[in-house]
Amino acid sequence: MTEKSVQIALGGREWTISRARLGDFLRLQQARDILLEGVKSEDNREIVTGLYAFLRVLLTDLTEDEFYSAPWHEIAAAFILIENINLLPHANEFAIIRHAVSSDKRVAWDNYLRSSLIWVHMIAKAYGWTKDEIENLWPEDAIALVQEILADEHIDREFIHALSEVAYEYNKTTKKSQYRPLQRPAWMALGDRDGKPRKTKLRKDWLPTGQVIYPEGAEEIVH
Amino acid sequence: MSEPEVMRIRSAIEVMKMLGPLADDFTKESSTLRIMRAIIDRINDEHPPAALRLLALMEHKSAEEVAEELAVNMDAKELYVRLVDGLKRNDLAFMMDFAFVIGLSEARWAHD
Repeated sequence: MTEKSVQIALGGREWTISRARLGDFLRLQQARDILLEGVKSEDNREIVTGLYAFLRVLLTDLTEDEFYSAPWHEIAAAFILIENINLLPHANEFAIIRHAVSSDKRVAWDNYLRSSLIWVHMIAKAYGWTKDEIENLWPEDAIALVQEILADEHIDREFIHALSEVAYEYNKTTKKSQYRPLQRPAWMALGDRDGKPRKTKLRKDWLPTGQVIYPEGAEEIVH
Repeated sequence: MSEPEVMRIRSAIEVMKMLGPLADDFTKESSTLRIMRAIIDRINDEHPPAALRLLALMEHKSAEEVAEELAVNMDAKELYVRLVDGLKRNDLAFMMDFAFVIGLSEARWAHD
């Protein structure tokens, strides 16, 4: 939602670039993935390819010659400037980011475009917008929308789950069925919006016994 | 002899890969001399030819060329001085910070 711009000098040329919209933001992420993969496998060629791809997202007419003949610190400075200008504002406001769980699991139909097209797919399915319209969103707007879409989908799934007999487990002792709600993903279940942790009840026999010596000035808690 | 230019990205990445694992030893030092000593000592300790390779990368030469040059007037001081010049010319502090940003080093520069 904020338009920022920054000046970049590289190989004797100057660019003024603006903050990336969703499309370029995802392309930056793809380039960063190539770079990280190169770092992980210690493959210099992949690292450099990732760096070039990263800069090319916003410095669209940067040639390979300019890139490879520029002093390394100009490339590094450009990379850092682009990273900084594209940091998500208020990223911690989004539960989906705050409680993100990274997963290396790959599906059988995975491809190199999937990680970015999945955003377009989700938003297009929910709102019927075109790819260009979606790619023109600010990244934080897109995250907020995706969060709502996922929350809606999960609430729908909870409703369907509640209608199904698998949601009711029969307890032989009480001879009654007990409702087992569908488990929510961590980002929907953990904490409140202020990031305060939920209060958790502990069994009494798990609590420490004996005299508790509190550090000086600490609040004494009576259970 | 004119001063070599600053490294290009391919060489710089290689240097970051060489220095990254040693970063813990020198990024917290504040004296230039101690930083250079820490780097050179570790590089010589672990891989004797690494100092030559490091110098070659920073001077846009092959390791053989550098070895030949040093053999002509074999002086440990010369290797040391040229390494110090190379690391200064290539802004070691910024290099280690960038190496940290892209994941090639686990420690970043700890002082100005």
